[in-house]
Amino acid sequence: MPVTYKKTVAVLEGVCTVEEAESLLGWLQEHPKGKVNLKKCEHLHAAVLQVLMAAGPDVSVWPEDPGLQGWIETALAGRGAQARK
Amino acid sequence: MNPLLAEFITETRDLLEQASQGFLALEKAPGDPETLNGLFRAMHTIKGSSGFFEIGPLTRLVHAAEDVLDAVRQGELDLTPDRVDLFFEVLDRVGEWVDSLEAEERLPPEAEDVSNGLAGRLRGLLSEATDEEPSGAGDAVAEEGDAEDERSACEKVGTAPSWILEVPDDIRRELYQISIEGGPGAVAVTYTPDEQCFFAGDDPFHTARQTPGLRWGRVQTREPWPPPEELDPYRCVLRFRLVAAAPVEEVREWFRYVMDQVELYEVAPEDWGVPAGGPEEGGSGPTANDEKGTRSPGGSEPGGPEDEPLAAAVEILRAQTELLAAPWDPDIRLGVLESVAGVLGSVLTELGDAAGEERVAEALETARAQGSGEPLRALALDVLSRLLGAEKMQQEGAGVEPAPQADGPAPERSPQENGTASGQKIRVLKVDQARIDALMDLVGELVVAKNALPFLARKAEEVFKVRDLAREIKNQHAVINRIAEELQGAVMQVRMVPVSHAFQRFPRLVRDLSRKLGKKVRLVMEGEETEADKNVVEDLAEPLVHLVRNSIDHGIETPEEREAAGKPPEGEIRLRAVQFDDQVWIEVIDDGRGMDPEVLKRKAYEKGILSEERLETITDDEALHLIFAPGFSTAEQVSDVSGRGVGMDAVRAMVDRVGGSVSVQSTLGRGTLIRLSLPLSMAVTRVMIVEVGGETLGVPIENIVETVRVPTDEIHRIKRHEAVVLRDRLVPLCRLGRVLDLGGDEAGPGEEEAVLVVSIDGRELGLVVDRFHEGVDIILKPLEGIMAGFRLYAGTALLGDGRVLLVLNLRELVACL
Repeated sequence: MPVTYKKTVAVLEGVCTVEEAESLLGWLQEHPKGKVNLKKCEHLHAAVLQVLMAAGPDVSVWPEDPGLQGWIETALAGRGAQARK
Repeated sequence: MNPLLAEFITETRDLLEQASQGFLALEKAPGDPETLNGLFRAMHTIKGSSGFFEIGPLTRLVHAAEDVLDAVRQGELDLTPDRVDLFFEVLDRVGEWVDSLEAEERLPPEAEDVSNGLAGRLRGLLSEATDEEPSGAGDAVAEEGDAEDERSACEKVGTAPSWILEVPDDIRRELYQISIEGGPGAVAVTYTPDEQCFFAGDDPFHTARQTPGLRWGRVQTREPWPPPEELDPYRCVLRFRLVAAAPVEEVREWFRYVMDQVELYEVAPEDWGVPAGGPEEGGSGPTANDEKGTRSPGGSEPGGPEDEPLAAAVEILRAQTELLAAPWDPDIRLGVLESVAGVLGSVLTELGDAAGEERVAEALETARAQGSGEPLRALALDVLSRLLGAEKMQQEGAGVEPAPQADGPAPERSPQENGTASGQKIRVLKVDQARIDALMDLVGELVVAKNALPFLARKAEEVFKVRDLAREIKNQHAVINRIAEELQGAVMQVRMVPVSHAFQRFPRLVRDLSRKLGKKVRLVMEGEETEADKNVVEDLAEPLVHLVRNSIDHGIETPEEREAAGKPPEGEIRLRAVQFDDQVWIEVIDDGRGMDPEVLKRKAYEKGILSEERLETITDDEALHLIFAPGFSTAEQVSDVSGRGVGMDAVRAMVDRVGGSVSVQSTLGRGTLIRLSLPLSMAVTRVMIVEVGGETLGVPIENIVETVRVPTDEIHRIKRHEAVVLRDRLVPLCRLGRVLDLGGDEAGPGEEEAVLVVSIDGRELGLVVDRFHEGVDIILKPLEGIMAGFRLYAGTALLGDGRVLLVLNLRELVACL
C-alpha cells in the first residue's frame, strides 16, 4: 500500500497511483486537520496531486526527492494560503 | 525477436480480448461509462505502444477506433450492432496483424489499404454523429488571464506566453545562456490535460515531470477548487506549465499522444528578458550540451529558489546513473559516456572532492575499454551512497538496474506505465510453456526412477541379505516419494488455468452466429473459474466451438418457432464447467428443439453408419451418441455454420486424445445437454488395476461404472453371448481372460464372478476378471516401436514395484469383440 492512514497523518510512499485519489480525498474530508507525510514518496498520480491541491493539507514531511518537493511546494503554495484565510 | 515487440504482441492480444469483451458488454448495457472507458483505454494503450514500431497502418487504425470511441463516450454517437460489427472487424484485423508481427515481424503487405479502408469507415461514423464538433480538452476550462487558444495543436508563432517571466531568474539566465550559445533551445509548454484523461490511463503529472530537458515546471488549477466534499478527484482540472531545454521536435514527440492538449512555444533568447551581459558562471555548472537532454544534468528540477546544492547533486547523480543504465546504441554510447563523465567531474568538484576529476577520468577510461557505462555508474552510485547514506542507497541501486540490452536504444515506455512500474517487484511470471513441459517430463521421470527404490530395497534384503540397508533405502524412498509427489503437485498447479480461457471467445461467437442466423440467443457461462490443465483447456476450445455452433444452428429454433412452441423467443445456451473429483465436466446445454433418436437412427442407417441388425437393438440413449460418428450430419442442408458432419467427430477425437469421454442427453422439444468429462490433468492418469490370469491390467477409471460380484447362475446366455441383468439393465459380458488369451479361472456353479462394469460411449459392458486391485495414479506412456501397433492397449506405466502395467484401450477392445 503506497498510502498508510494513521491517526492524524497520511503517509504516502513510493508511487501513489490513481486508485489512491479517492481514499485520500475521503480521509482528508474526515480529517480536516490531517497532515500528509511525503518523505518516501517518489511520485504522485496527477489525480492524487489534485486532491492534495484541492484539500491543501499541511505537509508534515516533504519528499526526499527534491524534484517532487519542488513541484508540491509550488502546487500547495496557493491553496495553503487560501485555506488558512 | 526484439523483447519489446514480443511484449507488445502479448499485451496487445490481451487488450484485444478485453476490448472484444467490452463491446459485447456494451451491447448488453449500452453506454456504460466504465466499459466505454475500458475500451477507450485499451485502444489508447495499443496505439501508444504501437508507436514504437514501424507499423503505421496498425497505429492509424487503432487511432481511428479510439477517436470514434471517444465520440461514443461523449454521447455523440450510439453504438448500434452494425457499428459494433465494424469494431469487431477492426479488432480481428489488428489481431491478424499481431499474428503476422509475431511470425514475420512485419505487417502483411495489404495492411496499408485495409487500414485506410477501415479507418475511413470509422471516421465516416464520426461525420454521422449529429452533434456539433467533438468537444476537445478545453470545454470547461476556466480561461485565465494569459489565455491562449486551447485548441491549437502546434507551437505558436506569436508572442511568448507571459508566464515564462515567472521562471526564477537563475534558470532564465541559464536558458538564455544555452540558447545564445547555440544549445538545444528552450520550449515553453502549456499542458492542459483532458478532463477525462485519468480514465484513459494518463498520468499528466508524470508526463509533465518526465518532459525531456525539463528545467522548470509548475502545476495550477484551471478553476477555483470546490470544497473537498464536492471535488471530483477523477476529473482533471490541472494545467501544467513547463520549460524544457530540448529541441522542440523532441518535446513534441514526448507529448505526441496529447498533442491536442498542449501548446508549445519555442522560446527565443530575447523572450527570457535577461539583460545582455547578465549571464554569468556559464561554464562552471554542467551545461545541457548532452544532446539527449533527458533528465538533463544540472537541471534544478522545478523547485523553490533555495535548492540545496546537496539535493541538486543527488538529483544530478541519480539522473546520470539512470542515463547510464539505459541501453544505448553503440554509436551514441561513447558520446553519452563522455558527457556523463563531464557532468560527474563537475559535480565532484562542486562537492569539494579534489581527487574527483581523476577518478572520473579513470572510470571513463575503463568504461571506454569495456564499452559499457558500468564503471561510471559504479562511481556515480558510490558518490550517491556517500551523500545519502548506505541504507537509502540500496533502494537507489535497485531502482536503476541496467535494463536488458535491447536492439538499439530502447524507447521510453509510455509514461503511465513507467510511473507505476518503477520500483515494483514482478509478482507474475510469464513462462514459455515448453519450460513447464520440460519440468513435467522431468517430474515424470523422477516418479518412475523413485518407483525403483522399493524394488532395490527388496533386492538388498533378499539377494544381498543386508536388512539394515534395505530399511535405510525404504526410509529414503519415503522422503523422496513425498518430495516427488509435492513436486508433481506443484508443477501441475502451475499448469492449471481457469477454463475461462476457453470460454472467452464464446460471447463473441454466439453474438456473431445468432446475428447471422437470425436467432436470438443468450449465452450463460457458469463455473469459468474451474481450473484444469493448460493443455486440456487449450484443446477444449476447438471442440467447444463445434458444440456451441451446433447448438445454435441445430438446437435453438428461430424466434417464431420458439414462440409457436410456447417458449420465450430468446434461446439460451449455457456453458458450464464443474469440477467433479479428478475430472472437469464441461457442459453445453441449450433449450432448443432437442434431438429425436428415431430420426438419428434413420439417418445413421441411410448413411450406412448403422447396420440393419444394430438398428433394431440400438437404444435411444445410444442413438444420441450417433452424432459423434464420423460422417454423420442431421442438417438437411450444409450451411457455412455447421452441418458438414465433421464437427462432432472432431469433438470426440479431441476428447479421446486427452483421455476424456463425452455424453449426450436430449429431450425432444426441451433441449440438449452435451457433457465432456475431461481429466483435470493429463500428466497423471488414474487407473484401476485388475488381475486376469496372473497378469495385471489397468482400466482407466473414468470408464468404470461399478464393480460387482455376480453369481454364476445369474449369467444369462443369449446365443453365443453372455449377459447379466443389473438393475433392470442388460449388460453384455466380456471375459477378458478369453478375449486376451490369458487364461485364468472361470468360476464354477455356485461361485461368483468379479465383473467390472465399464461405459464406453454410453454403452455398458461387463468385463469379467479374476480379481480387483486398488486404483493407482500412473504416468501413461504411449506404446512405442513395434508395440505401437497394438491398439488394444492405450499405453504402459511403471508400477511402484517395477512391473510394467498395460493399460487397456476399452474403445478398441469393444471394436474387436
